Amino acid sequence: MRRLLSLTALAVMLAVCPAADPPARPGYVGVGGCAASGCHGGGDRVGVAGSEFTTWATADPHHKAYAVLLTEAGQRMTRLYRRNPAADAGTDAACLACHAPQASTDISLRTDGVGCEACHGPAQNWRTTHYLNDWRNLDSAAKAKQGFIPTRDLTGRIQACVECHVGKPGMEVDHDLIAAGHPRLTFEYAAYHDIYPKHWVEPAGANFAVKSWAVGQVITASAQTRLIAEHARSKRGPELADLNCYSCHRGLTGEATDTTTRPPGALSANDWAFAGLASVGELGGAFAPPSPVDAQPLLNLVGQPGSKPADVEQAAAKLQTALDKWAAELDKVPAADIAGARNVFTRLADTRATNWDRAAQTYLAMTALHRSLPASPGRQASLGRVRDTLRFPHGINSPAGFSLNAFHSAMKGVAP
Amino acid sequence: MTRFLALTLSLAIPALAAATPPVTGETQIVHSATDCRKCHEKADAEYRANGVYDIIVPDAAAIWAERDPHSKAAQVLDKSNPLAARMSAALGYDVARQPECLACHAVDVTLNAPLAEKKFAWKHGVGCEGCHGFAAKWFGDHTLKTWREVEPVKKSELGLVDLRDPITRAAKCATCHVGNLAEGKFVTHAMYAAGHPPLLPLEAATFNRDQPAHWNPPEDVPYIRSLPPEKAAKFFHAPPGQLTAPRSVATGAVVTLRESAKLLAADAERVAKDGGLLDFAHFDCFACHHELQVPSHRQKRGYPGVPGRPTVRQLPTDLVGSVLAHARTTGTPDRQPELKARLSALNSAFDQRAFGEPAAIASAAQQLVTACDNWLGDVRLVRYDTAGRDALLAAIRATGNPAGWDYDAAQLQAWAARALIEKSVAPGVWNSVLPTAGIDPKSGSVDTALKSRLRVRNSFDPARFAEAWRGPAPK
Repeated sequence: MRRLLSLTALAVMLAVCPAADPPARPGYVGVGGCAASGCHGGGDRVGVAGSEFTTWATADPHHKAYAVLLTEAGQRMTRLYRRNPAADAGTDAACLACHAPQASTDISLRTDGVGCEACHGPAQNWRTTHYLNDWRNLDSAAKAKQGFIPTRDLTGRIQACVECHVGKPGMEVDHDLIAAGHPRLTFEYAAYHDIYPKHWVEPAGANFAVKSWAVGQVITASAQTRLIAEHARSKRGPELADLNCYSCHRGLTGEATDTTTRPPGALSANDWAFAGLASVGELGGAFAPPSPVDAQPLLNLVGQPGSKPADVEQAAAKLQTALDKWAAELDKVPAADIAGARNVFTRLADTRATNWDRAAQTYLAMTALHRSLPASPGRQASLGRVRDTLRFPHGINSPAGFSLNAFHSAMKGVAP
Repeated sequence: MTRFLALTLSLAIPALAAATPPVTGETQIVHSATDCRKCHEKADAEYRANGVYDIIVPDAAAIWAERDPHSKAAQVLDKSNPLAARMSAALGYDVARQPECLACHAVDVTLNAPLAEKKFAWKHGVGCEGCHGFAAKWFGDHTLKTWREVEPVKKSELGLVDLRDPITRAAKCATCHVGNLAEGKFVTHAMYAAGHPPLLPLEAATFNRDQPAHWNPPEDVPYIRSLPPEKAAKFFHAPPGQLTAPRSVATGAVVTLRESAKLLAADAERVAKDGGLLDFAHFDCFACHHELQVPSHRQKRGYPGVPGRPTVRQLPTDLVGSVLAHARTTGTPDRQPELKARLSALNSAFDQRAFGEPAAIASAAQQLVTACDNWLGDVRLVRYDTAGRDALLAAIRATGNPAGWDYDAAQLQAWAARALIEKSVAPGVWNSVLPTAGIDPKSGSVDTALKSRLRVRNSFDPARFAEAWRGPAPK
C-alpha cells in the first residue's frame, strides 16, 4: 500500500511540475544498446568475451524474467496479490521492479526482462563512453557517478544482486506475495554464482569461492536486516516472511523439523540470512569481523510476538552497522587468505543444525569451502549425500519428511 | 417420604472432598462424587417404590464413573500418562498441578478467583458438581420429594445449574469444550504445541449422547410426561411434543458460536490492552499448518482476503446459518443478513494485518456475542417436533459449502445431522468418511488414541466428504 501511495505521489509530482529538473537517476537504454555484434553481441558460445549479450540472451535466466510474469502462474499470483481479477503482472509496477527494472524509466523496455543495465547500471550517461580509453582511467566512484555499478568487486556486485534476490524496502517478496504463489527467496551468493552462466571470466584468486561465500553471507544478512527494520517501522503487524517458513508450514503428523530452542508453540525467526554468519567469522584472519556481530538479539525479538517495534529497529540498526563495516573489510581480503577454510569445513561437519534453513546453509557453506580446497571426488560425493537429505519431496515446496538425524548422519560421512 | 428424609439426615454433615494438593481443604461447597454415588450408584427398590426413578435414572453416578471420560479428567494429567509427562516437560510445569490445566480437568472450587489463587477438587476429575453446581445449599433439599416442585429459577439461586435447559446445558459444556477466559479455561497454542489433543467441535446433542448421557431426555421421563404442558415447559424446559435432539442441536450451535466469540473477544481485548499477538489457538490450524503443495489448492481456490493472512478458526457459522434459515420458515425474522454482516466484520478484522487487529476483533466478536443472544431468543421459540426436526435436518444438509469445511467443521455438521436421524438408523455414510477417533477412557492410552485421531484429521479429504454429504441421506 505504501508502495502504491509513493508511486502515486511521484506521478502527481511529475504531472504538476513538468518543467522540473530531469530526474537525478539516469535513464535505461535497453539491451538493444549493448547487443551490436561488434560490442557484446558477438554471437559466439556462452561465456566468450564479446558475446556477453549473446550469453545472456541464450543461457542466462535473467533474460526470461519478464516472460515468466506472463505465464499462468505469474498472472494468477498477481491477481491474488492485488485481489483484482483484472490485475496484470506484465504492467504491474511491483512485479516489474525486479522482473524488468529497465521499465522504471521506459515501459517499452519491459520485455528485456533483467537486462544488462539492471546489474551494470542505467547506461544513459556512459553507453557511448565506456569503451573509450578515458573510461579505464576513471575510478569506481567516478564511474558510479555516471550510474555505472562496479560489478567487478564482489561487494558492489552482490549489493546489486540482493536488491532483488533479498529485496529492499518497498521492493520485496513479502508473505502476501509468497502466499499468492511467488517462491520464497533463499539467496546464497556462492551457490548462485556457481550455477550462473557467466558472461565474464572471473579473475579468481585461490579463495574466490570462500570469499564470495563470505561476502555474500554478510551482504545478504545486511539486506535482510534492512527489511526487518523497515517492517518494524511500517507498523503493519508482524511480517510473516520474517518468520521461519517451516516451523508453521508443516503437516501435523510428522516430527517437528524446527527444533530451535523456544517455548512450545512459539514463533521462530526466519534465520536463513543469518545462519552462516558465525562460520564466516570463524574463518579468522582477514575474514574476522572488525567488531563482534551477533544476529541473535534481533532474531529473538523478531520471534517474540510482543516485541516493541522500536526495540526491533534499534537491534536491527546495531546489527546493520556491524554487518556493513564487516562487508567493507571483507572486500579487502587478499586472494591468498584461505587458511581458515579447512578448519571451518571440518567444524561444520560436526555442526548440529536446528532447522532446515540452518541445515541447508551449512551444506551451502561446506560446498563453497570445498571449492576452495584441493579437489577431492570423495568429498564431492559425500556432500552430494548431504544434499539428498535436504531435498523437498516431489510436488511439495517444503521439507516434508526432512529429518535432522538423517542430515547429521550424512554430515558425519563427509570426507575431510 | 420417610426414606427421603432419613437420607438428608444421614448426610447432614457431608464429608469434604478427600483432596490432595493443590486443594487446601477450604471447600465449603464440594461434596465430591463419593457422596453423590451413595444414592446415584444403582437402583434401589425403595427409591423405585417412592417414584424416584420416574424422574432420574438409577445409575447416573455409575455411568459417570465407569463410562464417562469426565471421571478420568484429572487422572490423565498424571505423569504415568506419557502424553502428560511429555506436556509437563515441554511446558515447564507439572500439568497435574497447574491451575491452567486443572481449571478444566478438575472441579474449580473458586470459580471467580484469578488463576494463581484457584483451588481445585481434582480427585474425581470433573465430578458431579463441576456441571451441576456446588451442592452446599441444595444437597439436603434435593433428596426431598418436594424438590421437583421447586421452580428452576429458585434452584439456580441455590446453586443448582439448570441443566434441563438446553441453552444453559450447552453453555456449561462450552466453558471447557470451547473455553472461557473469565474462568481461566483456555487451551492455548502452547498447550497444543506441547501435545494437548485438539478439542473436538462442540455439538451439544452428540456430546450429550456420547458422554454418555446419565439422564433421560424429557420425552422419556414419566414424571415430566405426566405434567400439564405449561408446567413441563416451565419446570423442565420440556414443552410436550417437542424433541430434545433438534432443540439441543439448534440451541447448542448458537451457544457454541456465542461462547467461541466470547472467548475470542476476551483474548482480543487482552491483546488490545497489553500488546502482543492473539493466541494462535484462535486461528484456523491449517491456515499455517500444511505442507506447501505445488500446485497449491489454496492459490487455485483463491483467498477470501489478503493472501496468506492467518484466518479465524472455523466457527460453527454454517450450522448456525442452517438453524436460522430453518427458524425463519417458522416465522422468526430473517437473521441471515445479520449473520453474514457479523462474520464479514470479523473476517475483515482478522485480515487487517497478520494475526489480526486486536481491537477490531474484540469489537466484531463482541457484536457476534450480542447477536447470538438475540438469535437464541428466536430459536428458543421454534417448535422442534418431528416435522421441525426433519426440516432442520434438511436445512443443515442444504446450507453452506461442504467442500470448504475443514475436518472439525465437517465433523460438527455430520454430528449435528446424525443427531437428528432416528436412533434406530444404522450409522450412515458420513461415518465412513469421518471415522470416530474418540478417546476411550478405559483403553488407558491417550497417546495411542491421539495419534490415530491426528492421522484421521490430517488425511481428511474435503472433496470426498462433500460428495458423501450431498449424496442420499443415510437410510
